[in-house]
Amino acid sequence: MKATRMEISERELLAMARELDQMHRESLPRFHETVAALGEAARDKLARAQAANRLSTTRRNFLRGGVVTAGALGGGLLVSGCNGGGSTTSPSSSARSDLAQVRTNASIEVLAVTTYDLALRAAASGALGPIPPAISTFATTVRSQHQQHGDAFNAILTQGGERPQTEPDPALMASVRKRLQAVKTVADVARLALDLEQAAYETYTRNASTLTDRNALSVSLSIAPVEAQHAAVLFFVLGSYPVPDARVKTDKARTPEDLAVTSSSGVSSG
Amino acid sequence: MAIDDVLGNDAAAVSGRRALLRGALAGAGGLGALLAGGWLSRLGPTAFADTASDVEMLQTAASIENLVIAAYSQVATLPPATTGASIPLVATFVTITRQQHGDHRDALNSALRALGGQPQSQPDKALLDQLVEPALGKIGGPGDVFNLAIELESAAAATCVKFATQVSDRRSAALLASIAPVEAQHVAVLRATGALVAAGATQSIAIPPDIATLPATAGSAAFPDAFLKTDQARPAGEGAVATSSRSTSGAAATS
Repeated sequence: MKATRMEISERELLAMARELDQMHRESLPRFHETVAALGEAARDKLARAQAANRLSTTRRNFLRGGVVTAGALGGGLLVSGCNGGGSTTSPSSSARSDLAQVRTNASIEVLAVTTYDLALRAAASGALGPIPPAISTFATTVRSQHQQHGDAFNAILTQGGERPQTEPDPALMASVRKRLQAVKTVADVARLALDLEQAAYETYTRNASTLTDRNALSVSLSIAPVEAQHAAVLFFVLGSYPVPDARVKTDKARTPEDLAVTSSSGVSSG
Repeated sequence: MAIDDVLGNDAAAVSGRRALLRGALAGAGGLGALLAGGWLSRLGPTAFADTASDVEMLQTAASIENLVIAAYSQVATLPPATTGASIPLVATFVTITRQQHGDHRDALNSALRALGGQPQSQPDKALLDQLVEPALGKIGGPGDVFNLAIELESAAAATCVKFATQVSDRRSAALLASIAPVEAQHVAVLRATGALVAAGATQSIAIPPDIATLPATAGSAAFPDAFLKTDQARPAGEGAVATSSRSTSGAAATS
């Protein structure tokens, strides 16, 4: 991979990108067998993965991001690809399933960021009336955290050789758009946000039953509690007890099937 | 070894609180039996970490729940003005949160039985010694109580998240994953409440709140981090039931 530091042609770059992608896919199953739980190193890895992900905005940077990640992380999906060799098997069904779930997770985060953006825009226009300082702080802070969550899930996708998820969950987005058209107060927006936060943390909690990759699971389970904290504040704002259940339910969890079905059914995501 | 030798009774100012805590722990399963079983003498922070089984991790998670229940029980006996329980919502929080931890403990112990393991009726002794006992001895106001509770709840949340990624049994992973966000919500409430108290906005600690008068800090104090940290997770085997003391612990569980 030293060649990446040399001047190379577009054709060579594309070939290397394909090769790198293939290596990721070939060795992904071995990663699942060998990676330990992230533990205390998780956040450092995650931050570096996010940095690598941000580098991946161009084809050249995609390749550079892979090399940086491989050299710096010492773990994770992408590095396992670069360390791999010899196997010609396609990604295992469990790896594909994991990445599909992570994509679903990322789509929820994109949706959350989009929703808070729209809500902040509505607030700025005066459509929601006076905005209390705490609500303004909440929306800004939570929007930023959802962006970080989306980056984390997308880092997993790109390390797994897939494109990042940039579109929101289409079915939920359609619902959000419809509800946003009807909101008139801060409480209306809070109810909408609460539904999204619940869908998010229930989905990530359910990941414990579906994800086989411990790295991805560690990320999901480190995010679910934060979404639940967002929800706690929203419960309080809406006049309900902030911790209504002793355990998280998962009946609102989103699945890859939800994303696939709604995407193929032509529901607008834009 | 007498219980007081462990809990300490040399400081008159804290002896009452410790006695109450001792009572709370006895109610949770019996600290005396814990000591009689010799479990304390074998306790090491990483004694089981390398070979921790699903059962050991669930037992450790349950031991934290036992400790948190005992701690909230203790707090409930202190003067409301000292703990913040003079604020009705805070008192409600203590009551409901203790019940929710009871649900967690029961669910974890049911999972243990399903795996053929022994339920854990004892508190996490290392956490008791390292955190709860020293903190209880220094409580001077609501802020101290909030800080102690935040530490305990954070440890519980972090431990559940970490163990959920390490256990091999899927049902156990799902259970731990379903508990962690609730512990994190407890932390969120405590942080937000602490921030409101610190800001002198105790009138805002009510349901429903007066949203318009909530200080800006109330919108972000509950979740300072975008990702739950696991550095406060307890070692996997810290609260495991030692095999040789099973009969003793089992007796304690029914006492």
